[in-house]
Amino acid sequence: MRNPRVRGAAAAGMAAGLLLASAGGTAPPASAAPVPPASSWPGGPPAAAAALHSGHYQEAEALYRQAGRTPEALRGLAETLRLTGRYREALAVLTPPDPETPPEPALLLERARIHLERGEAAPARDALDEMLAQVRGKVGTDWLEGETLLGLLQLRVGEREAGFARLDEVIAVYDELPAAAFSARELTAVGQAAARLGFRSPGLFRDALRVFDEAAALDPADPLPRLLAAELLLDKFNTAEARESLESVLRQNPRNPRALYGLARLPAGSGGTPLPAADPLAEALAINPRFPPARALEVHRLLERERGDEAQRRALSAVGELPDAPEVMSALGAALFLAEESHPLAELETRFRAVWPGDPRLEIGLAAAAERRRRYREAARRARAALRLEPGSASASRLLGLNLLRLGRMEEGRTVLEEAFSRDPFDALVKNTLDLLDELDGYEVVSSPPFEIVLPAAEAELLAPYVEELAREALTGFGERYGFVPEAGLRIEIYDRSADFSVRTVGIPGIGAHGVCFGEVIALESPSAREAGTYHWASTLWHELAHVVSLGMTDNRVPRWFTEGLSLLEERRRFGDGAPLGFYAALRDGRLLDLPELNDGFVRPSWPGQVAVSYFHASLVLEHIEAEYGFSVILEMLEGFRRGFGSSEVIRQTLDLAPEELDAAVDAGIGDRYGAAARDLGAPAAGAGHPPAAGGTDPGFLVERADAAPRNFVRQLLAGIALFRAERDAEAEERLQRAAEIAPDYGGADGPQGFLARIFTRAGQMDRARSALTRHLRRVPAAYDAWLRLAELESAAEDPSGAADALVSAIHAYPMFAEPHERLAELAAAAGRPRIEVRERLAVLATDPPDRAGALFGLAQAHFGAGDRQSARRRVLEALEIAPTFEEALRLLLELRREG
Amino acid sequence: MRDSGASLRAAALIAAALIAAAPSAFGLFPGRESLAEMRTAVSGRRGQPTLLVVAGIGGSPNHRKRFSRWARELCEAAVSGPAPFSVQLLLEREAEPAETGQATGACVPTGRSTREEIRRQIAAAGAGIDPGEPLLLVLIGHGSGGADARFQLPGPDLAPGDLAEMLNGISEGEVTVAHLGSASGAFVPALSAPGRVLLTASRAHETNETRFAKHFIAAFSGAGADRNKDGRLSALEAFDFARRGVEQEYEQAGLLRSEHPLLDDNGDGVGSLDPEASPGSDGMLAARRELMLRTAAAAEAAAEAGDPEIAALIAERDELAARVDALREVRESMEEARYLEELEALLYRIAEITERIEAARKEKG
Repeated sequence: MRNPRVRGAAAAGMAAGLLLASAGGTAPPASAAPVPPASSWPGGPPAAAAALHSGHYQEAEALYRQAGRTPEALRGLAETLRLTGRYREALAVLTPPDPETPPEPALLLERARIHLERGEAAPARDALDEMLAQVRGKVGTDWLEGETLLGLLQLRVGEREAGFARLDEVIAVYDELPAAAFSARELTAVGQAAARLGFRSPGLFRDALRVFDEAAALDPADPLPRLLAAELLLDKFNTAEARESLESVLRQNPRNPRALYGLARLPAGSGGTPLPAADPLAEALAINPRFPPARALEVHRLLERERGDEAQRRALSAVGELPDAPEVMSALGAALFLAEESHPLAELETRFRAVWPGDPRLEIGLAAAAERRRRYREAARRARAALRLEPGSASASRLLGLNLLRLGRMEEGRTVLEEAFSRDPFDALVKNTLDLLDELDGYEVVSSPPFEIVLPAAEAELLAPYVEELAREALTGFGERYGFVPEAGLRIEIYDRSADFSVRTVGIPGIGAHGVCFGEVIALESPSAREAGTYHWASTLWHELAHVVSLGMTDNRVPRWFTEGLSLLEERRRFGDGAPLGFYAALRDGRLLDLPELNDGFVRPSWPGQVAVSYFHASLVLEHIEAEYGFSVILEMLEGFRRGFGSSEVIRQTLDLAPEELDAAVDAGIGDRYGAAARDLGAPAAGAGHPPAAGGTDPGFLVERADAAPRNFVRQLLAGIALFRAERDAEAEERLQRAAEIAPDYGGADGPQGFLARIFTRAGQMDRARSALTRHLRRVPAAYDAWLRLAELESAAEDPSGAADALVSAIHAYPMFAEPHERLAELAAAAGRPRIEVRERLAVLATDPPDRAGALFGLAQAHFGAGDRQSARRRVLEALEIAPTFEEALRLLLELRREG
Repeated sequence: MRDSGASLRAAALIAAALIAAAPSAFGLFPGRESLAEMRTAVSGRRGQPTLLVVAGIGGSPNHRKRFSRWARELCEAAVSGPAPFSVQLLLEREAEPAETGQATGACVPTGRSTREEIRRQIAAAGAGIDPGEPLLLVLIGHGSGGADARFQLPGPDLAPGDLAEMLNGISEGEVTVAHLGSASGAFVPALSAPGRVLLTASRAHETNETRFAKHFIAAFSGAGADRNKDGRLSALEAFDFARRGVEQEYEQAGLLRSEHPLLDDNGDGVGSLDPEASPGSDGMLAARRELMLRTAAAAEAAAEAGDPEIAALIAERDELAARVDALREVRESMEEARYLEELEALLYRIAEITERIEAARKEKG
């Protein structure tokens, strides 16, 4: 601002007629009407305002009511009632007793605010027109606020040119006069205008924040500028600063519904912040049960949790109370869309267009709902529709661009996002995603139909063959069992930085997951993004490929709990099936969710570790269904979801059970398998990880604790580990065996079988060591070092095939080290498997080994063995280029020449 | 990368990066001729190597065992090659076979790793050393940094000045010192001298326990460190191998690296993090400094230096190999096809000469 670019001719004309309502240019009182003496108003206006701004609404109401019908008191009372959702009473307060008396502009403005909040365009406009007729051109009155609200309203009802011109005028007035000429409320209005115009001149976003700051400094009691700043920051996904701004409002008034609503919009646990103790959305609604954005968010949350029926009920109730509020209409639209109720949705769309012809919020809401349910095509279609309504809409562009990328339409998505960025460079999601796309330009694309594998160039040679092989194995196997093969190609993106993967998934770093499936696009972290032993890349790929099947078979309608459960079941079948400690703890504490709520564990976790527990729990549900009813029922259920039925109907139709009955049966199975170990864990509750031991790792202390609870497997395990470390192997073995017997399915990295294997190895009992290690790895497949140890044991037992299997598993756990590749290459060479040897020698080379010449020579030999003379020659020359006197390589070179 | 509202700052950074990259972009890599010289310089000469391994005080049973085990592993690698070292092994405790494994043959500890014993062993080695004969001193253990830098020993610790004084008594031979402990960079200024190669596990202020030692020892026990496959392990190869191992270990563990190995061989008292075989820079001498013969062929080649026919063939082969080195360094300026053609021609000639060397060896029994 203070920038000639944003001034139009109309604005200049408007500014020329400015009047300052006070001689000195400072803000006068909002009205010139007589104010009663302070003695007639207990505590005076400051006491009532203080009560209002600190959230003591009852007290504020009482004080304002005692003050009589002064404009200031009426405005304060109306605001108090508006904040607590008593809209009708607020409007009644603002209605003059004498219809002949023209209403005060300040009261008309408050009236307009109430109507706007309720989504009532026409009466809001009437009130604004009426107040503007009285104050137009008068700085120091409510003029600029009125103009801004009217401009924003015009944009929503499709009067784009007039709306923008009006907002331009507000900016022009601000530019014309010194900042000191404006009151805090006027500055706030200017900030609102600037924020709305930002997409045309992005510097205005920053100006808006600056003006909000100025307004907040001028009137620290008024929360509005800080709320508007927070909302602008939230729109840009700057959650940290938004949170700061909201918290500053809440420190002043912990019961400000708009601030609580803003807090509820923040992603749960975002930025490393803990999960809030209380739900701010519920608090907001407790204070103002009719606050439309909060009512809408409530519906969206239910939809996120895939509780469509309840969402629709709530949305209908909200629309009943606030029939024209765009937020609640949009929320109802989302509920109808996801329930595939096309006729009511069409009716709603028609009505929305009639009331809000220029407002893209319905389409944006529908696009966002579709996106959350993995219906990316529909999301893109709706986002396009939103863009037609508001061509510069940042939200719509973002939704369109991101969803095109999720559909694998990379160039198209990038173009949309580039356009969005040019309009709004402050949108963190768009910026992060474009940066990521820039980075992807340097990635290698390995095409092997139906797969297109996109991965860092430095890792392509090493990873791509394994990714391709595993993906093919998975899809072939799934195709046979599920009868589903994806029609289109499948794009598999692999990221060597967790932050990049996270941006690809949700647009911001810090997602905390390893893989994601968008249907025809899979993204996962490269094993190099994590430490060996902590992340099993192959099972993650397998898991995501299973999603391709369940999403594809249901046209993306499968509920979250089912698709996650099925994917994990497939993953466990292929790679291993240990139960996390958190699962035992949750079982003990009765924190496993019932079936109808199981989705909540994924999308709205209420305690740390709940997501991991929910995955495992869901997989046990699927395992139970398959075991009791046969695999064909899984296929029937998928078909039920495809046809649009919800979880309860599908369970009833396919299993002939109520969901509660299925739940009870699953619980019984879980109880049989894990119940005793969970029960005997004892207090205190542990979400994840071992309960803290006050005596540290002292074996004596831990043995004493273990003796006090002989059926507590964690205590037996801790004692066993401590004894093992103290080299008291016989005692350690006893404890570890006991732990293994109590909880044979425990899947922690410190599982008892791993330690038992080491004890047996120390004792030279190699067969027992092999068995124990095999059991351990069945539960903990990510244990890279343990796979290498198993390979050694298999080799020592002269079982090269077992050794090779163990080495492949080690590579599936972590492929970035040369060791398993070298050993596998040697085994392949000995077994006369040249194709495998070549693959492994290539992998060794891709690990950038210190002995590069040696690795190249090994590869040359492998090619030679495989009969590929040309590759052998090329590789031996490369080896000799580094080490020209490398005698074995020289011999191979001559041999190759002699063979011609 | 896009910058939200700070694009000017980003542009400045890019400009700085381009400037920093400019020297290499112009191909300023000295030492092309020297590589060829170096290759011929390392062939054919070798005296009896002496290895003095000192395992300092452990401070805990685990560390004592680890240091002793590493010392023994290094000793075993050194005596098992085709041209065995004469080894002196000094440990914190003279006899602890149960902890360090069964000591056998040349790897029986010679004595305790006290400062006086080290002085005595260095003096003895120095007295018996001939010109050109190598002495490799390896210190395994804990070090301390700062102004009062020490290598920790049973009894009085070893200060950089103490060790410099001991080594200064050796007037002949090629002295290489590898200090594998923490804060070992603190020894560089005092020990640095013309003709002396110094390798340290860390910089002077890096006092955390180091991981360099195990990788350095692995350079002796495996074939992977002999990067150019000439059958000889040079000090630079051993250093690079160990440094790489350290880097990878930290990277794989996702840890911030707390040790940065140094090499000094130009006598300027300042260790280099990234030495290279270029004249005047650290690494030139280390590239020529042979620590160990790794293959029987290399040992034979050294022994056959007196056979005129084989010596001539070896010289011819080394000359051609030097031409490969030189060719490789001008690759960027050549057409790829011509480069490959010349490379291949040279390599075939080397292969043929190598075959003739083998035939001559067979013929001469």
